[in-house]
Parts: sequence; structure tokens; C-alpha cells
Amino acid sequence: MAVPAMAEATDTILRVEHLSKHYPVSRGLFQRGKLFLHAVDDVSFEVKRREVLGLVGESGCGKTTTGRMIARLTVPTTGRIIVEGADVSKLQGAASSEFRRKVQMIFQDPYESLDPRMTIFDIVAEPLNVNGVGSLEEREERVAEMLSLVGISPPSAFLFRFPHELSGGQRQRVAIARALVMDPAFVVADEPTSMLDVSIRTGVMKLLAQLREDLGISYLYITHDLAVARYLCDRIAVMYLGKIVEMAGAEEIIKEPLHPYTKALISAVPVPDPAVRRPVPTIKGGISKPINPPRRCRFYERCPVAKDSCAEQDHPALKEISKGHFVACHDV
Amino acid sequence: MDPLLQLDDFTMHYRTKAGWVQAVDGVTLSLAKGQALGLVGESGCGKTSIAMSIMKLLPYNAKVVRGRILFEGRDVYSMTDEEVRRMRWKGVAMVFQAAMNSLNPVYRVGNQIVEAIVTHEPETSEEEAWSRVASLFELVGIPKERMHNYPHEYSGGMKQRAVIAMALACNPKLIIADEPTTALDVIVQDRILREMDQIRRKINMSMIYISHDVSVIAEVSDVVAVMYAGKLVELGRADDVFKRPRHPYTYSLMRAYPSILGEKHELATIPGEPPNLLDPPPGCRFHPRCDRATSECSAADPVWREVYPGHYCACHNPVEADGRWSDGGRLGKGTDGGEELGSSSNG
Repeated sequence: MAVPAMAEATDTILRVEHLSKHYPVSRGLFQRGKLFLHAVDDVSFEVKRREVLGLVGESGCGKTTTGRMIARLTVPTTGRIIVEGADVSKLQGAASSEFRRKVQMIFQDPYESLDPRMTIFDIVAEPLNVNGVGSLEEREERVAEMLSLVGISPPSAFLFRFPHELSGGQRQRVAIARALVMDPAFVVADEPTSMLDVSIRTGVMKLLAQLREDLGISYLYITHDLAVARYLCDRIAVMYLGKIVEMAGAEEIIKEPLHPYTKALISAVPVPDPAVRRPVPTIKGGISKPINPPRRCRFYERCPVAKDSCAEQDHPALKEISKGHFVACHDV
Repeated sequence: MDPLLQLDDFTMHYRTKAGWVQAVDGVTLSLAKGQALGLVGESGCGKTSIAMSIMKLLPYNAKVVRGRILFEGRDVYSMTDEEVRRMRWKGVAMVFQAAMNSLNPVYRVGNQIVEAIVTHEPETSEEEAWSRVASLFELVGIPKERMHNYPHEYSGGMKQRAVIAMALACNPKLIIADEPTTALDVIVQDRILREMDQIRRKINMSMIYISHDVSVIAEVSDVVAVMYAGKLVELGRADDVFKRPRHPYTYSLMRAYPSILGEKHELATIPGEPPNLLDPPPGCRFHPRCDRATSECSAADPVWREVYPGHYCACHNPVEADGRWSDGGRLGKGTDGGEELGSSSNG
């Protein structure tokens, strides 16, 4: 019995346990720290090796904060992040730089994420320089290899150009090359295609999928676009005001959503077919900020099926309804 | 019936240090009263330039090279400033891309709309204007007490609604909406799209809806116009363009968009990148990226012709009307991408 458990344990590359991030909200100059914005609140999930988990939600739902905590760019308030069995927050010295090699991040806006004064070579080689990997010749070789891997070819024509000479799609490819140059096992991709035009976007999406096949990378793919998530992700987790409300296989969650918020979100996505009339999403009001939120279900105010009992109970925990399909709703 | 708006071989270029940018080239289209036109294309294809040309809001370095824009039969570029002023707001109103920034932060939202009304309709009293603002707010779904708030007290979706209310303030015959929901979340976007559609039908207003998002265009338009690199490549009823796209660019664009409906299909990629409009490719501007290109495509400009009643396309080698990518072997076997696309669209 112990053997399969072991196999499963090593198969998991990332495990997030009860992760929270609460930001103090200032109420004037001298009253800092009484109110907290619960950006991410008690979030737990796992990502397997070679798996793509999509983190989907509206702006302000905490999806980017979650990604930044995993990449160690933001310090969690509570909770643990375990990468390949090691607790990230306890890492120090050599183990810490080993972690930084293993987990990389791709940012949303390739116009902001590349230093305009650095050449493409310097940008992609920077992680190698910082980590002291290889000699100059080896770095040059590695950078050229990465650039051709992401479809910037011939690399020699781009090495000494600056970001402003590149198009948006090319810049995002450079950003991807920079993230991959250290040979990471896990990549946090924060809306990497949302700034790109459609004809370019598909190319970048396919590149990310191809890199997973070829290099065995796992992704946390953060996006607001369910249709994009459907194409790229194995599983999708839907976030609402700092909580994961539903998590399941990508096709399953889109075809058979169970949480009322997921249902509303899906019915609000426009479809590229003029003959289709979508149902009107049954969701009330607008999104608010989770500042010192009450203990009850976060979705209560906007929920079309809320009952009085929902107001009295705590926010529902994620329950496994069917194999691999988790929902946090009292009504499901 | 005379069309409300007509663009006739309209060509507009921008002068830059590097040379002339051929931003809009030979665009011909017309819009009937009450019709909604969806103008779709990628960034830099000239969508917003067309909107600005209609409003006569072009920057100093823009030059109309050829062609005309007729609004209610009158040439916009031979109007006097006073006539243009009257046409704006009452004739054509525009909702700009970044609605968040098009409200003045130091005035109450209601005041800004009242100001627009009394400026353009001097016969309207301020009291009447305020009551009109109240009913406009109701129309776009903002509680009317909120008209005394400042813009910073609004959420993004509310600001967008307020800007739409403002555009509707003088009962325009045509509203031009330039990516009005691009910065908004899907649920808010959905509500605004539904509201705009309802309002438009209620007051029989024409609309030009500009977006890069094929799905949004599918939902709001009666007629779809597809632009690529400053040129109109396809125009027709929404059903025709979406079901039977004839231009290879439209064809690939429709298939590059992921959908949450139906079976997952392989997404189309369009190789290469849009051209630099300082020096666009000769012949068809899409030919360097087109799988169907032949020697003819780089030699001659494709003619704008009617391929089906009301369905226009500028292509030497259009996709078959039944959606088949291949045209019976004349082009030889298509590339891998082409075949894959062909088989998936037949299913």
C-alpha cells in the first residue's frame, strides 16, 4: 500500500496548503492595521508534474496574488507552499536559490516586463548571470538555444537588439525564454497572452503547450478568460474574492459547472457565433472588496440560490462531489 | 432608403518622421438607419482611425488622401466647423476606449452630462437636462441618485455605463463604441452588451461597434466588417461572415478564437505578424501570411467584389462558400494547417 502513495507523492510538484494573504488597509494616516483585505483566503490545491492548472476569476479575485506567492514574490500571511516536497518558506541559502531556479514566472505585459535598456541577450542571460551558471560562451549558447526554442529565429539576428525593436508577440516569447533559461520545473504564467492580438496569441498558447510536452514543465496558468483556460489547462480552479469556489477537469467544469458563480461566469462569456443566444447570467449586484469579510459564504450577496441558512453558516469548504470535482457551496 | 453613413473609397494616411503610415486605405461601406455594424480587426489595423475619421477628430498629422465620408448624405470633410460641431453628439456620438479616463474627475458625473446637453441643445433648460440625465441613468442601469457622485466614486463598469449615458444624451442617430468593454470583467461586459443592444433597438439607433474580439462582435452586430492592415477585407451580414467566411484572414481569425461552446477544435495560427504600414506589402496586404497566396496575390490588389448578395470580399482566392479551405486542387494540396482547418470545419 505504501508504494502507490509514494509514487503519488513524488508525482505532485506543487502543493499549496491553507494559503492566505491579508493586506492591511489604511483608514487614514494613523490608523493602519485595523482592517484587512483578504486577497487570498485559505486556498489549497495541488499541481501534478506536467500538469497545467488554470486559475480563473475576475479582476481582484486574488489569482495574481496566489501566483506571486508561489513564485515567492509576495510573502504569504499564513499557509504553506510545498514544491517537490520542500516547504518554500523554510528554504535558505543554496536551497533557496535552487528553488528560484525551479520556479519561474511569466508576466502579463511584455511591454513592461522587459528592461528597455537591456539587449535581448542580456535579458535572457540575466538569470544565468545572477545564478552564476556557466561561462560566457556557455551562456551565449544557452541563450541562443532558448530563443530558437521559443521561435525567435534566427537567434543571432535578435541577440543584440532591444525590446523596442520587437513586436508584442516576440517580446512575450523573449519573456518566456527568460523564464525557461534556468530549466524550471514549474512556471507561474500570469495572463501571458491577454495583451497579445489573436493571430499572435494562438502561437504563444501553442508554444506554452508544446514546451510542456517537450520539457515536462508544469504551469499555474492565471487568466480571466475561460475559453483560453479550456484550451490550455488540464484542470481549472475558479476563484471568487480570495476563495477557490470550484475546481475540476477543464472540460467538466465548462460543460457541467456546479457552483452558481461558475455558472454565471460561463454564461457571461461571449461566443463567436451570431446564431447563439446565451442565457442571461443569474447573478446579482457587483463585485466588492473582501475587506474584513463576514464569515459566511463570500458569494452570498450575489448568489441567485442563496438561502437563509447560507447566511448563518461559515463559508463552505471545498467538497469532492465526484472524482476530482470540488465545489464550495452549501447547496451542492 | 439612403444610408445614414457612407464611406466611399476612404483613404487616410498619417505623416510621421519615418514616412507616411497608410492607416486606412480604400474603405467603402455603408450603414443603414438602425443597423449595427461590427468592425473587427487586430490592433493597428485602422479600426479606431476610421472612427476618428467619421468624427473628424483626426490629429494634425493625418491627411485624407482620397475618398469621402458622407453622414446623412453630406460630406463630413466639406462641412464647416459649426456644422461638424452640430453633427457631433446630436448626429454621431462616440464612446471611447478608455471610458475610465474620459470623465472629468473634478466634476460630478451628472453635471458633465448636463453640460453636454445644454451646450448642444441651447433650447433645453437645465432642469429638463437634469431630468433627462435621470432617465438616461435609468436606461443604462445606474441608480439615479448616483448622478451627484464624482467619477472616483464609481466602479469601472459604472463609469462605462455613465459614458454610454453621456453618448446617448443628445439622442444621436449613430453611436460609435470603440472597445467599450475591453477593460471590464466578463459579467459586467455581458450586462453592458445586453443593455446597449436593448437601448439601440428601443430608439432605433445605428451603431458602429469596434472590437478586436470576434466573440463580442458576433453578439452585437447585424453586419460585420473585417479589417486587416488598413484595408477592409470582408463585409457582410453577421451570419454570412461567421458561417461562411470567404477571406482567408477572416477564416483563420474565426478559428483562432477559442470558444467555451461545442467541441474543442484545433486553434488556427496565422504565421508571421501584421505588416508595417509605412511600407505595406504589394498586392494583397495579407499575402505574406496567407496559405492560399499565389503569384497573383503579390502582384495585384484584390478587387472588392460581391461574392454573395450583400457579402463582399477582397481576395484573389477566396475560401469556398461551403467553408472548404481547398478549391479543388487548383492550389495544390494545402499546408497541414489548411487541411486540419478544412476537416474540422466540415464536421
